[in-house]
Amino acid sequence: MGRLSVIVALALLLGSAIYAYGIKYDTIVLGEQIARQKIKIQKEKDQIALLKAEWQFLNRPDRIQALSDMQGDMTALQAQQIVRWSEIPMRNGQLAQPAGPALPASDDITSSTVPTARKRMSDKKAPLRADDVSAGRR
Amino acid sequence: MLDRSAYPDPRHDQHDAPKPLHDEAGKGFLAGLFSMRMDKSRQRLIFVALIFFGLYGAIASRLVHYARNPETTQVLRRASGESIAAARPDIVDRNGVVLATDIKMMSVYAEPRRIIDKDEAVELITAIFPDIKPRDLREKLINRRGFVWIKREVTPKQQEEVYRLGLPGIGFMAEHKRVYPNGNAASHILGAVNVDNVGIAGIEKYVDSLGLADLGGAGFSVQADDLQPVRLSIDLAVQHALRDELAKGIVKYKAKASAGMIMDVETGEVMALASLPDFDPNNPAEALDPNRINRMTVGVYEMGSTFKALTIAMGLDSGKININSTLDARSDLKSGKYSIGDYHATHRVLSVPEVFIHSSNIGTARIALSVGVSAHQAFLRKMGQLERLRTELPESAEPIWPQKNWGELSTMTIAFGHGLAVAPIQAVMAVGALVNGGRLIPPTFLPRTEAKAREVAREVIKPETSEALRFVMRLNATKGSATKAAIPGYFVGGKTGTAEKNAHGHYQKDKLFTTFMAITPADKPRYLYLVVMDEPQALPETYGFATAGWNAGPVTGAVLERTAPLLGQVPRTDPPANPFPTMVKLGAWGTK
Repeated sequence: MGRLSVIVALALLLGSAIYAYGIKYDTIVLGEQIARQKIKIQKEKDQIALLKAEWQFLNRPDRIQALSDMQGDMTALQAQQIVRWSEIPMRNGQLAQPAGPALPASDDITSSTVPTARKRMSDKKAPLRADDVSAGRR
Repeated sequence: MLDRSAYPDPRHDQHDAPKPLHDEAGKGFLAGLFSMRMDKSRQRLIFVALIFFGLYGAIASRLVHYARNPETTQVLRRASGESIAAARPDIVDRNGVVLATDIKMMSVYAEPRRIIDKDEAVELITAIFPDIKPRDLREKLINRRGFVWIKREVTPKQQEEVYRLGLPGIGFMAEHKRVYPNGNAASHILGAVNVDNVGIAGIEKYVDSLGLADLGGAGFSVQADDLQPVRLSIDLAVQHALRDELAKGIVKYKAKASAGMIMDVETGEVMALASLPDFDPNNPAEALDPNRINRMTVGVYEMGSTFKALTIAMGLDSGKININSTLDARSDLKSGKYSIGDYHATHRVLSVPEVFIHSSNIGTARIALSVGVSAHQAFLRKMGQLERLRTELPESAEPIWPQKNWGELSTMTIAFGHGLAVAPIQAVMAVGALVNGGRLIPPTFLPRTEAKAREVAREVIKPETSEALRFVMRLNATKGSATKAAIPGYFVGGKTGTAEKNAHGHYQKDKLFTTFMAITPADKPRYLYLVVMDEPQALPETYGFATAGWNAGPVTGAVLERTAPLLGQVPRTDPPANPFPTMVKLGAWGTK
C-alpha cells in the first residue's frame, strides 16, 4: 500500500516535472517572440514619433505662410467675406443645403453686404461655408 | 534516469506491507530513503533541510546581486554620475497640434576600462567627429570611470561609421531628444530643455515640476508610452498670426521690441502670447540673450494710459463719481513743484467718457484724488497690480511701485499709468476683469472651462461698472484714439497707452513705450488683445507721431482682423441693438 503510493507519487512527480519543463520552454519561446515583437513595436513607435515631428515640421506655420505667399494672387481674409448660412438668400424658394459641397450660383444673391463673397462664389472656386466659422475652431 | 530494478516490487509490497522497509535486504539506500519510520528519518530531514537552505540561499543571494548590479543602462548611469536624456510628454496646442515632442537619437559612449588601445580609439573617433578635440577625448578615456559620453545625438551615418570601427568598449545608447517642429512660433511659452531633456524654462520647466523629474531621479525609467501629452490653451494658428503681425510691426515702426497676447476673458485662457525678439527652442542658448526675455511676463513697464481704464473703474465703482460726472481739465493740475498736463489738451470741463477718449491725465488724476490714496492702493492691490503674478510659466516679475512713499503725487501719476511698473500680463488680467462683468480671473496657459474659471474668479467690480468700461472702450474705438484698430464687423473696443520711458530717473520724450488693449465684441467681450511696442519710431505716414494710436493700434487691428475668424468670432454686419442699456438709461455722454 505504502509502496504503491510512493510509486504513484514518483510517477506524478516525474510527470509534473516534465509537464512543468514543457511549459517553461514554451514560455521561453513565447517570451522571446514577445520580446522580438516589442522591439518591433518600439521601432515602429519611434518611427511614428519621428514622422509626426517631421509632419509638423513640414506643416509649421512659417513654412505654410511662405508657401501661400508664393501664390501671388491670394489676399488675407476680410471680415466681409464671412457670412452665416442664415444670411445667404434662398434660391427658388428652396432652402440652401448646409451639407452641400458648393453653394448655389450667385444670381439670386442680392445682399449688398457680401460683395466679396459673391464674387468668389461666382468664380465657382473656394466655396465659402459659414459653418467653417460658426463650428469654428473652438 | 532511475533504475527500475531499484524500485520495490509492487506485489512484494502488497504481501509484506506491514514489514518495515529498511529491513529488506537488497533494497539498500533507496529503501532507506523511503523509510516511513520516524526514528530513522532524522538524518534525512536534516539532509533535505540543508538542500532547501542551499537552494533558497542561492536564489536570495542572486536576487541581492541583481538588485545591487542591474545589468541595464541604470548601472552605467550610476557609475558615471552622468544622466541619460529621459522621455518627456509631448506638448500639444488646444487643437492637438504638436508643439514639442521627443525623437530617439543615438549617443555614443565609452567604457574606458574596456578600451585596449586608447590612442588608436582617440584617433579613429576624432576622424569621425571633427568637432571633438583629441586632447579632451584622451583625457576622458584615460580616467578610470566606467562610463563617459563621447558624443550625444549622433546622426545614423555617424553611428554606422563608429560601429564599423569595431572598437571594444565603445557603445551606443538611444536617448530622447526634444524637438520643437514649429521653431520660434511659441518659444516663450514652451521654454526649452537642456541636453539631458530636463526643462529649464517655460512650460517645459512647469511640466518637470509636476513630478516627472522626481520620478526620474528616484531611478524609475520613464517610458514615453506612459506619458500623457500636456495640452495647452494656446492655438498655434493664432499664435503664429500674432507673432507674424508683431514681426511686421517691428519692421514697419523700427521698434526695438514688441510683444502681444490674446486672452479669453471668460476663462482666463491665454490663446496666444508672443514676445519679439524671441528664440528657437531647438537652440536654447539663444534664450540667454537678455534682449530675448519674455516681455509679457518678465518685463515690467509703466503701462501709460491703459491704466486710466483702471482708475475710471475705481472711481465709478467707489461711487465717488458716476458716468455723468464732470472733471475740470481747463488748466494743469499742480502738486508741489510738479505739474500734470494733458497730451491732447482740451482746456475744458470733461465728462467721464470724454476723459477716457481724450486720455486726459488731469481728469484721471482728479478721479484718483477723489477716491483717496489708501483706497487707490487697496483697489490696485485687489486688482493684482501690486503683487507678482504667477502663472504656469516659471518666469515672472515683481511689480515696481512706491512701497514706502506713496503719496498724493504717486496716486496722481499712477492714475494715468506712470510710477507703477507691472508685467503686461498683469495689466491684461486686470483689464479682462474690467470688461467681463467684474470677475478677476488669473491667466492660465492650460485649458480651462468657464465653470472652472468661475470657481477661481474673484468679484472685483460691479457689473454696471464693467458695462461702463465696455462702453467707454467702444466709444474710444469709434470717436477716440483707438479707431485704427476698429475692424468693422467685430465691434471692437480699445484703449491706447503711451508712456515715456524712464531712464536714469528722467522721462524721455523721444523714447516711448506704447501699448494697445482691444476687446471684441465690446457688447459681450470674449477676447482681449494686448500689443506693446518698445521705442517705435515716427514715420511719414503717421504724420510724425509715435504714440500708441499710430503703431500699437494698427498692429492690434491687423492681429485682430487675422485672428478673430480663427478664434470663432463671427463678424456682424449690423452693430448689436442697444449694447449698453444702463449707459443709455443714465444718458451718458456719447450714447446719443
